[in-house]
Amino acid sequence: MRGMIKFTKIRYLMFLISILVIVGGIVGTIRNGGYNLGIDFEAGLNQRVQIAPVAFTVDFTGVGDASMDMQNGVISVDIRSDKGVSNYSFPLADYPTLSDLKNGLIAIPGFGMSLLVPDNSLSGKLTSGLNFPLEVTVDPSFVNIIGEESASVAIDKIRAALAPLGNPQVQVVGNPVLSEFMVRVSDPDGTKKDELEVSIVKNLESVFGNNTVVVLQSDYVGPRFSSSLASQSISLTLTALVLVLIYIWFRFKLGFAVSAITALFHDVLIMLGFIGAFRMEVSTTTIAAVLTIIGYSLNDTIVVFDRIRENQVLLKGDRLDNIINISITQSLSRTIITSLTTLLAVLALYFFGSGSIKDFALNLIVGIVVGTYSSIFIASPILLGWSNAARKRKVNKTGAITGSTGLKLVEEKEDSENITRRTSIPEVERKRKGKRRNKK
Amino acid sequence: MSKRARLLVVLIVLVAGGIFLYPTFNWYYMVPQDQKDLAAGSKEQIQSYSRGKASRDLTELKSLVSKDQNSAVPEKFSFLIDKAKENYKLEKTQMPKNWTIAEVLNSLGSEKSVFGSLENHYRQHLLDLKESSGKILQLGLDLSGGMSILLEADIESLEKRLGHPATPEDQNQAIDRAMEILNNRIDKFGVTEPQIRRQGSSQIAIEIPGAADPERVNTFLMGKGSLNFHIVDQEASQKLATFMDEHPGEVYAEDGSIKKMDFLDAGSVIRGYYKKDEYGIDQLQRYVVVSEEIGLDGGHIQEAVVANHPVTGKPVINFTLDSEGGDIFFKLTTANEGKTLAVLLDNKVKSMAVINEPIRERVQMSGFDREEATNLALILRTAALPVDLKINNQQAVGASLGEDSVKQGLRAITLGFLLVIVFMLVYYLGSGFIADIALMLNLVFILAILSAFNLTLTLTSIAGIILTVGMAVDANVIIFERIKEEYRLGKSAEASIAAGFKKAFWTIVDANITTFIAALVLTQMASGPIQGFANTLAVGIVSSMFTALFVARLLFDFSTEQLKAKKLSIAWRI
Repeated sequence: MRGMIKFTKIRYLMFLISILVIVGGIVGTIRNGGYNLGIDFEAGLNQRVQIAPVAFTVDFTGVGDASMDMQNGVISVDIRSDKGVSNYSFPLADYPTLSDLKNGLIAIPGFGMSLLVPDNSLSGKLTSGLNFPLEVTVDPSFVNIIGEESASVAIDKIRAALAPLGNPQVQVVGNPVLSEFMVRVSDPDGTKKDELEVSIVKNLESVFGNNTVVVLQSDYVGPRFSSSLASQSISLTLTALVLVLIYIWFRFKLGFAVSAITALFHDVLIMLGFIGAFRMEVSTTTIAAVLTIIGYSLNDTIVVFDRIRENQVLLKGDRLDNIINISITQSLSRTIITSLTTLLAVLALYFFGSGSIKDFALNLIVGIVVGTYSSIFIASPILLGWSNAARKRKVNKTGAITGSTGLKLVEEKEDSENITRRTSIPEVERKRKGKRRNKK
Repeated sequence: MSKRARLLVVLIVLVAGGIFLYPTFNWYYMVPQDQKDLAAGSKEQIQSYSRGKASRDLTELKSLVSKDQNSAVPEKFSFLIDKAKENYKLEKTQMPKNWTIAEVLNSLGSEKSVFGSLENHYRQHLLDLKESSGKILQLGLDLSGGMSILLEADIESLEKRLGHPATPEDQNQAIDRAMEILNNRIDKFGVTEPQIRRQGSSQIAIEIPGAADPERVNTFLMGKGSLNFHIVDQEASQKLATFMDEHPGEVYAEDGSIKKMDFLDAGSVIRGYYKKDEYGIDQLQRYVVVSEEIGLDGGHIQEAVVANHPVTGKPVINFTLDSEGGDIFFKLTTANEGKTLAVLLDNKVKSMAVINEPIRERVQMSGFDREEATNLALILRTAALPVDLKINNQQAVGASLGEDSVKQGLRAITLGFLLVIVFMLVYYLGSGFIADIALMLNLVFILAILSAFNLTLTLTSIAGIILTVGMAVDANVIIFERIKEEYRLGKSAEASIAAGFKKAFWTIVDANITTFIAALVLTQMASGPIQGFANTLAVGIVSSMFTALFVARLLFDFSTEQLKAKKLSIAWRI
């Protein structure tokens, strides 16, 4: 026995719930001070660092100011004093090991050097960062060397060390043996550059040891999404919606199109509210999730609408709210099975994935639940409201019920028993009509 | 359509899918890593590798021959036998029965030609690999990293173009515009999902997925202005050639560049004429003297298409000039009728042709290989960069997602897929099995289409694919629920299937087309994650409609007609 569940009966309650959820999302987002934008959308700091052990320290106790630089495989030392500048140069090709280099450097009057790695380490592996040229003073300055292959640092360790900075993006640069990494931290206002630079180094040094972090490059980068790209995506999304609206209008009726698009806005608003209220990071994956839900929700709504359209022909003369309820009931098993299977896949992503995949899955779970809910409780009732309003306008105009579309005006007064009563669909008629349709 | 015809369609689609997927499969599962690295290198690197390998092989072969003339050819040199066979066929002489080393080497001729065969073999292998690496499903920056390039805007070139010192505002505008154009161009070159960011005040940082091949970037940066037309001074060119023959010692400066010749007019310059060798490397042919003044600037080119020359079959670029360019070109070709016109790309002479008659708008140029012609035509079609960009630094970068999270993500995605498969089987029994076959084919088709378009797979798009598969289940569910309804009304299995598919058809089509419209509009986005996602979605919709409505129907018909199934296995309780 097939029946119908009176979904439309509780439509005002559902509208109220939806509005409350949407308002709650907006309020929550505002209270959180807007969205938690990820590095895809924010400007930030790009810092290239290398983890390298200290090779040696140098100090200068002589007269004047000493500085040491390393460029193109040549170490040069300048000593400026009242007497002028004396310049020493050590091509690393001529000083292949660190002990050779040491012998060369300590020959400079006042210059001291103490090795912290084996004597025979290759001088060609020395590395220099933004701190070069080094000011060499009485206090020892540090010079780093690329570590042994076996000691190369795994990227996971860098990620773990930088986790306190809000999980910045970390990438290996070049050959992994070099332990060179690109770190990207978001800094929307660009005011914290110096602070961030220092804290990246500090966080890394707390794990890898003092003076082992060489900053190779530090630059301010703009967001991946420029404002022109953002406005392009908004205008394209709106274009897409208008085209979808026209298609549904063409294939169904205007009322269906408006209801489907309204339900879509409803879903997107709830999702965006959820993301904002729970301060989930907004990344490109978030956009992908929202777009997926737009597709999913449209799909879901159209399937129900299709059934309504079909039943309007089969149950000609029946009241629209009945037709809608019968249609939703008939497609209910499909709606539930589809949502369940999709949820199954997404739940697996949520429970077994991590990081951005987990966030993506959570967004989708919310979207699927909301999308399914809206195609049952929001889209079809809006369609009912739209038709009723259209009919009332018509009645007011002509003063009579014309029934040109075969729909009867829904009376606002309904039997209270109707809530629990299940009206049976005239099956014989359906069968007959189905056959007639098939013969056509 | 008859069942046989439908089966044929499905088989053709399957075979096509296999063909498209093969390069991707081959690349990720068959090609060893060291070969991939070699193929990712520049053409010069491939050249030096092939030559080095060939010369080592030659020594090895020679020592083998000197040890034992009649030893068999080692497996790794078996390609030489094929080459030797070819030579025999050409000469039409009797082939030896046993291919000993001495026999093979003899048939290949001189030591030089043996070396040539060896080099050719390695070169071809790597160049083929390089080409196939452009035809595969690329893994995105998040999954496998790529190349990071730092570009520096050449402010001088901007000031030259503006005609006054650039204010910070001019600079900002120029760089924003350059970023926009780069975004567009990179997309046209088939690289999807790049990351383009502004860095500092005058730099642009680009990250693109795939191998760190420096040549790929250079093509993005080619400016329209780098293509120019100049009139050749034949007389001076001749003089230069004679002078070079007679005084070879006085031609080059210490750094290897050509010296300025005293006998040349003030308004002319020496440029090299280059042709591509087998590696695709520009090789200097000779020097020509051209007028320093640019006859026509490539910026006047409005439309450019690559075509084949009707006689030689070589690629040519047909282009149309804007009206101003047409006037300039007409004046130029009228004044210089009978003289030679040279096409210069980045100051290298690419081709020369005698002007037979004045030309106004439509021009054809030759002298490029296919790749270069296609790239050039693309560049000529996109807008000109407002400021020259120089590569400041480029390096390989690793994946932006941790190895662990990629692994975990992939495991979760596989699990999700398996859950869907099992669920369908448990809920719909035999029909669920049909749905599962359709789903798996769907996955194969999606991957095949994505590989065919050389799209980039990020973790998000993989998840998106699984979601598409999840939504493809929907089509099957709609059909099955309809079939169940019909079956419950007492119809036969065959009739229920026919009615179920018929009634579900428009539901599925309408639902999918609405989503497809949205996806299609979003594919118009500038290159980036949204576009990638929309591509995947659009492909997924087409493929899932095909598998659900066409493949699944065929399988159902097969079960009722061929297997004579009288009962439908579609639910536990009917």
